[in-house]
Amino acid sequence: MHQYTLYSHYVTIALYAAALLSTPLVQRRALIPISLAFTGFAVQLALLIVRWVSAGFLPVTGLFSTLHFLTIFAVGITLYFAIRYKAARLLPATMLVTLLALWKAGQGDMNLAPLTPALDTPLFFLHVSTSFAAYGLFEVGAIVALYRLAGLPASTNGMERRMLDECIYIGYILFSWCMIAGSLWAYLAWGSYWTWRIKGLWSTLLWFYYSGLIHVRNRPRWQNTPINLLTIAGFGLVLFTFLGLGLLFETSHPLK
Amino acid sequence: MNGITMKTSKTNPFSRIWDLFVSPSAFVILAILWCLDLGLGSILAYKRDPQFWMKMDSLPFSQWLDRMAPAEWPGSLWVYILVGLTWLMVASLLFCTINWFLRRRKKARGMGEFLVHLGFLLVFTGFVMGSGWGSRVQNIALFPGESTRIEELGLALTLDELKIDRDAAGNVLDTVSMVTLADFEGNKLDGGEAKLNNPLIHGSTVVYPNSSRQAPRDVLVDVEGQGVVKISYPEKSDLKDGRTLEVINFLYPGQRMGKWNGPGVFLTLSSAKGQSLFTSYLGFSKELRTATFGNLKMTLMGVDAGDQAIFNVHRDPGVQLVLYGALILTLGTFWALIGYLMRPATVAAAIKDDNDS
Repeated sequence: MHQYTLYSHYVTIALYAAALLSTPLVQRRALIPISLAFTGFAVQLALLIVRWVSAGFLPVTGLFSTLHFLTIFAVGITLYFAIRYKAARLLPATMLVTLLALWKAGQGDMNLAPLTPALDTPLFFLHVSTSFAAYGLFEVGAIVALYRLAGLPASTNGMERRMLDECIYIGYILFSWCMIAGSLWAYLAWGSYWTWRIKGLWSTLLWFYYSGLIHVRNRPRWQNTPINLLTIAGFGLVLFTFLGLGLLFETSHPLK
Repeated sequence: MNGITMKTSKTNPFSRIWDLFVSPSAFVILAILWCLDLGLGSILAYKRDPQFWMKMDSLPFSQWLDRMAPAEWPGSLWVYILVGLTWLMVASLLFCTINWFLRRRKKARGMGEFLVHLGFLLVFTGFVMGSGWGSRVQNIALFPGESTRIEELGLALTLDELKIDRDAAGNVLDTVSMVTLADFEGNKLDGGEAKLNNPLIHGSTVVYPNSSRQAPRDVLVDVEGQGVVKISYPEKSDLKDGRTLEVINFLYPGQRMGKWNGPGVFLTLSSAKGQSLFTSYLGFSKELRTATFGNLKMTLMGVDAGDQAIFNVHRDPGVQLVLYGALILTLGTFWALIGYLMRPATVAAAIKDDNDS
């Protein structure tokens, strides 16, 4: 399993790097980077499924597995936008962020650790999958916001605002489900749906931050620069809540 | 939230105040301040004490705020600010929900957002109830067959059976307990299995296993001139001269405390009036097996240790409201998502739709 994981990891990196390097072709032949990214995505997805079947549980603990899981969502959403909204120009930025994430993932342990008993609950699957799907949307939203801020067209038919809106709105709903599942799980595991653990506090912070963002996302006064900056800052909070806390602090969601 | 202005808002000061309260901008500014306070406050609290949350979680929040926060001042300032901002945010949320009901209820599509707001308000109300009138009794240690009275909750907890699941290396995976909850008259209120992720829930009371450990039941000590004395932990045993002997701590195999290695026990000899006279450690190694307590030489003869389950029992009178609130919030998000996906394809239309409604 370790060899297969290692092999798939580097094949994915190679495919995404190729998708990034084929950027100049995006202007004329978007199919090439899209195909490369899609193949990398398929390899990653296959790796996840094989590890899932082998372990008997969704392998999303530790730095390696969580970063792979996050990038699956980010790449998947970008590919969806590339096809639905003709936004293949988003690919280079997503590929760059994904490559950075996979480089960091490579520093983590690739072996499948046994599932700790506390994680042996359907709420774990619900909590983690909705959380990373939301993180993926927030990441792609920040990339779209960055394009808008820089004045770069991301979509050939001018759907940048629509993409940004989908990332914030659907991301927020998924993150709300993550918070509800996490709170219910905490109630069953620790006897309280709310604790003052730092990870829980920052997750709530993130939820409230996007609660604010969702209220102004369509208000004329907050359009353009304010909403773009808030979306980028939101992803900064996501990174700190997910990676910063997990790597720098003693938390209930360790990545070290 | 709805930030529309009524025709009278320019002349009526109450309408102006109302519009300010229901303004999305007001909510966003509050949310940003809330995030800044929580973010900075929690990091500083962590830097001061990485286990700060353990103290805060040991009591329902209002009780912590009342009893412990003043002692933490000024380290608890961020919590006070957080409380104030939370109330303001909830007020904004409440007014927005009322505003929606008064002005936008004809729009079924907005019902999802309304349910989300309503759900959150219920969750918050439940939280306030739980933090104000809840109770937390922690670290209740019981051997199988043992009972204890939980005075704070008016309940008696009995551990009927205990099964500890271990992996091949002997690490504890789960503690599976069969427990019974009864009132002080002995009437059974509830009972069943309590294990990880599956506590015993009786209304607003939750019994959940925290951990398990090996603990001494009986300690046999040969007291010079008095023969073998059996000390049943945590009781005291009487010696012939009226003094008492008790076990005050136990070191598990491999556990260390200062210069002492487990397994072994710390024994205290007290006077007949209860005054502590001597404390010493008795272990199983040759040099630690015998110790002198004043004029009494004692030798450890044996320790009967057994598995003990540790429970936390929480009562939260607001938890039902929180669960209903979470359910309504979830339904609201589903409704909102379906409505969102059925929206016009262009955002310009969506923005217009949002602002015209």
